Amino acid sequence: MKRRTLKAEDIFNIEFIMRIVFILSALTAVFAVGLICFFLFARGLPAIFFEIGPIKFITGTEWYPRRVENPLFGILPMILGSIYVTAGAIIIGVPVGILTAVFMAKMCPLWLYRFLKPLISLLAGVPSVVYGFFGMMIIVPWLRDALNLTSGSTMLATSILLGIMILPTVITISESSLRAVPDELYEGAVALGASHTRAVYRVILPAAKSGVLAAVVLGIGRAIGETMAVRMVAGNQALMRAPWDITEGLRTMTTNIILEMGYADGLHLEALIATGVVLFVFIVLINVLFSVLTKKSEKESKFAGKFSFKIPADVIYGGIIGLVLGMAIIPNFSIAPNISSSADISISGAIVRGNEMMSPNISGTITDGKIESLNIDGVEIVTTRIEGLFINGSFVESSIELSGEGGRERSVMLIDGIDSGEIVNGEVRIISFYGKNIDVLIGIILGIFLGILLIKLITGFDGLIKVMTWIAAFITITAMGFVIGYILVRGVPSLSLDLFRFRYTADNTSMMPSVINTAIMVLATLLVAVPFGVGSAIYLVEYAKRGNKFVKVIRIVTETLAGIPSIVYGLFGMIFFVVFLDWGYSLIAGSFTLSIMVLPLIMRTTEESLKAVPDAYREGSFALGAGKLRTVFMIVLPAAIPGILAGIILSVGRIVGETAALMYTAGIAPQILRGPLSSARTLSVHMFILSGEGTHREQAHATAVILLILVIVINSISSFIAGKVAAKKSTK
Amino acid sequence: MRKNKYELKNVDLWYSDFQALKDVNMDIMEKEVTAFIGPSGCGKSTLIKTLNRMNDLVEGCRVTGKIHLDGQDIFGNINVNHLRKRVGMVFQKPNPFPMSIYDNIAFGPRTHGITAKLKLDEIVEKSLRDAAIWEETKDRLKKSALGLSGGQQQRLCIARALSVSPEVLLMDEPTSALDPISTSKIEDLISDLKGDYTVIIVTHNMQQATRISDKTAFFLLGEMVEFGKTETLFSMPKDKRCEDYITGRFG
Amino acid sequence: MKKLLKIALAMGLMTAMISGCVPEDNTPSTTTQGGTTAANDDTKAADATTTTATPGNFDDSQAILVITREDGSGTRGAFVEIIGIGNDEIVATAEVRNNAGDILGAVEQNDVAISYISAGSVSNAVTALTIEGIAPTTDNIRSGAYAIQRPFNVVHNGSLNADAQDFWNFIFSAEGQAVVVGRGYIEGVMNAPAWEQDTSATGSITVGGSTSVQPLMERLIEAYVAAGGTVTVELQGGGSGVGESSTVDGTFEIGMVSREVRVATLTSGELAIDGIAVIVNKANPLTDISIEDLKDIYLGDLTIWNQVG
Repeated sequence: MKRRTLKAEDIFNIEFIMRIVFILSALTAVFAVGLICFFLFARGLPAIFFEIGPIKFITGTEWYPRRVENPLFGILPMILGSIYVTAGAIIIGVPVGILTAVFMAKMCPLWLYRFLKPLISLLAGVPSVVYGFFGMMIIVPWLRDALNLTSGSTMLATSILLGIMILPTVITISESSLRAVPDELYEGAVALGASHTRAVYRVILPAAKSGVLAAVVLGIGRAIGETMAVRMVAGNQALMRAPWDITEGLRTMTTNIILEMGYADGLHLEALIATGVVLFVFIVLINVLFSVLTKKSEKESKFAGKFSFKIPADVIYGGIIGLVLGMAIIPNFSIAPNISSSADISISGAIVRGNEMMSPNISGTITDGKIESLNIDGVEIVTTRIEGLFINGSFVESSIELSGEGGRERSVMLIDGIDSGEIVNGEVRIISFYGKNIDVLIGIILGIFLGILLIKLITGFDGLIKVMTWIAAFITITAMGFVIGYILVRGVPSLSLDLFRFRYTADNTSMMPSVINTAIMVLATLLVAVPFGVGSAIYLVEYAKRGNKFVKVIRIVTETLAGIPSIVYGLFGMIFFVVFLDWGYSLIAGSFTLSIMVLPLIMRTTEESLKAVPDAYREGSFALGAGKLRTVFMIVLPAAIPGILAGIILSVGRIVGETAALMYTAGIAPQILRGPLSSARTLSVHMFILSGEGTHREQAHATAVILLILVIVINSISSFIAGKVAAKKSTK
Repeated sequence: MRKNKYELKNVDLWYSDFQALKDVNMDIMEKEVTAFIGPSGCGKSTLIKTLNRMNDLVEGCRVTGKIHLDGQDIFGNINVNHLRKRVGMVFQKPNPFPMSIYDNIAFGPRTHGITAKLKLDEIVEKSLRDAAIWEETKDRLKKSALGLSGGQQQRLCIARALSVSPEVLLMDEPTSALDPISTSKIEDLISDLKGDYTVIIVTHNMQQATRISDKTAFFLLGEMVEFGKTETLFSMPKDKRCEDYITGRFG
Repeated sequence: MKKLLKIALAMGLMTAMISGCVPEDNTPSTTTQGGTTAANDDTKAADATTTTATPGNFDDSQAILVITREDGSGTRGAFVEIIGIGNDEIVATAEVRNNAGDILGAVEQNDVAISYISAGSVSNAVTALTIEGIAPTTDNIRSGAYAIQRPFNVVHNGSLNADAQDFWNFIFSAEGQAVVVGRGYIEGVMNAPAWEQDTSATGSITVGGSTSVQPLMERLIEAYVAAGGTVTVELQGGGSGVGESSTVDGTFEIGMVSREVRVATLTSGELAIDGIAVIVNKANPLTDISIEDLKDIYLGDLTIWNQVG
């Protein structure tokens, strides 16, 4: 009898203790965000508010941070840049990703599935730098040729690359959610006479809404925070762009930080950190928006009736077809006409030299497209060369060769009365309203209509969706094939045994130390991130009351963390772990930084997995008298392991591929680390450094191959473990 | 003169190597309620799922023999989705879609091409009325179906099945998961429906069979042992095995 | 239908994987800086095949694609100073890359591109131009005939501890400077004395800063160890700016700066001299350029290739 009472008390205590433990885990996310906010805001905001002025910072269109007199810190071009490429990535990656996920979950033949699933997990692990390479070597030149551009490093190239990069995230998580939908719903739909396609798209996909949206949000987070890859394909000009300038180069907020982090000091450094803050705020806004859209309690949903989930597949796919068609049409004939001016157009205006605008008297005429006469301040200019382009009004930036004076002057001439045109070799040609970009836009719109029409003609709706799905899967496979093919073809010939010696020397840039460092980094990071992540998720799903405000806060906080770009993590890690805690460039600085980075991933996927475990299991356990703790650890958790492992695999991929964050925290020492406090270069960082020097490009590619193999090995091990656990737990 | 809705001749069914149905021969009359009874695992659910070819979804399932609906072989040159429109199904566990009540009912008609809002409104109302759940749902059509009680959800599923105007209604133990009051409501509903629909119901509950069915078939280990008018089968069973089951000696 | 799709998928995948090798990448073997063959790091020299047009097909009515290093790069700082424009006067539409590797890649891929990198990083996948007839060879750089050059400086914040001092002595010794020359740079110290090792120095130091100096410093550290040096030297990057600021705050004992040192409180020593090469795509027939034209290109006044020269 006495024993019995003791036991009850024990259980009570443990339950209580563990409950606190789980709550604390959940709080780590909040704590981490708080820490990041604090340090970033403390370093970044004072400068913004007191010296630059927040309005000027956010709406300023010019970025000249190093100018000695009157430096300018306007980041609007970069804000817009980030928005544009992220939007582009979503347009490209999300529909393809969701449809591919549907394909894999519901339409894929088994042999293909066994091949696709590891392929996608593999691509989750490809580091950004490799994608960057791929983009720079394949996408950019291709785009340049297809669209007849001076340079392919454009918004479009960046969006395409980012679209491909977010595919693994979107697909993996969406697919898990789709598989978790109970079969009864499918049977119910089919019993009503719905075809397979219809049952999948009208019933299963909507039922998986919350998981799919989570996938999308994570994908967006990845896109908006991407630094390394974008840096190599975007052109990086700090110029204001319009949304239709898809063939122009631009700079994103993340690239802005990494380009100039190296030398920034004082006000400039703070401005860069402040850029990170702005990014941060963006992520929060996006997350709040999404949480409003998906607000629902388990049973009742305000939006259930009004907001039925319709996939505008035809528009989206027509769009993509249109994009392709548009790109095929454009080089062959420009839709916007090239008109030579037939009438006389008079020239007047001002000259801008350097930063000064001077208003001498300019007059002249253009006849038959040729500049007839040009008179500046009474001096007759015999113009042999005026080159320039003018856009959107009557502003032309040109250079006038003033013959007879032997010099060349840079000036800006305003020509009134012409909307836009081009002066080449003195000949004025008026082209379309926004020039080349409109050509592309028109091509795309036409293509969209053509695309929709075409497919609707071939099949009815059902067939349309089915074809779309197969196309999506095909696009995914092809894109991934390209990336992997590129890595293998480039890297394998450069592999040699020397590259695996245990000692790195500048002559033999062996990657072996980096491999070992990477393995240690992964373990160290997971050691911290998994307990906290799983613990938080357990709290959120098993203990917290549904609809609890605290839960909402944690969720928003988690998704915020997910969206913070790796470069900002790098910044924070450096400020906090390396300098403030004085750990120096070290393994632990790196692994703690990465733990915070993958925490949201693990939390979210674990949460979804736990939620997918049917309540019937829990009820069965409680009915037998088992306590909550026992139920969670013995029944729920094991059932959720496949999903949890999926999240861990994604995290491992993230860790292995991470470059920016580690460079500023774990440093770049190329030997095997001597202890937790020593700097340790991981394989991705190694690859990045090799590629940056220019002389080791082949070794960089070889490193990429090894990275791929590493990821395959990691994934295989995880799947194996998942299979073992699942088999163990299934009775009979 | 009422004719046969279904004619089954020499029907065998295998799940891979296991034979679940052995030489079933029966004719099911239209516009009446036929009950399938028998102990667990006897094949009654399997048979009912074959009648609308839901078994096609099961890997390794093979059917031989003839099943004719209105004289037409259901495994022949026939569109299976159209078959399922004509032959509706209600499951043991209510499975409403995670959508609004309206959308749940409208799903079927929309599938089969009806998109005009007025027509859909009409169908939704009629279906809900026929399922005796209109009064309880008419003010919350746009709310999620998951907010209804178990019994209401099942009636919703019946309404949903009715929305495509089927000729036959297959019901696989429709009330086994429900409370007595809901059960009674649904039994009343079935009695009302039989004037317009052919109802085939699988039930574990013999009293239910006596209450609502016109004909009853008794299954055991994949064989149809006895089939006949409900009154007759229950008062004067011909086969000993059937008698033993009815009197509770097993099952 | 299904079978057809399966085949199509498989073919698509195979095509994608094979065509993933489209533009060839070229392995650099020798540097253009002087006759010294810098040790060939790479085990294989791939064929220098390019898919771009041979010089004969170059269309010079195309616009020039200007590519530059990022604002704050020591290489950029030196470059703009020598060609005589302000740092912020580089035409706003110029593309920006922040390391030599990306610049090489960008110029290799685009036949209308022009850019500049450390002469020690040039590969034979691109063409290095002569400036007004002078090639970026070690002799020309040493004599100053090749004008576009900049120092590799190392800095400390006034006092070196014994460990740092030992390493500092090494890199400025004859042995250290021999490594500098061996890597294809110009020695910063003429007639450097032999190294006198301080064998009691056995601690560890961190050297960090300019990414341009990094490859050279890596070699120096290895040579130091091979010569019996007992101090553990850890190398970090970060850029010339970080080289200065982190030396000031003590994170680095020695900083690397690939331009003139701006911070007055730091003591600097000129470790090496590096030329900056101007590079264009191999398909571009241009082989020589004037400083004036270079200036105009980077100002945005010259925008078309047929205007050059």
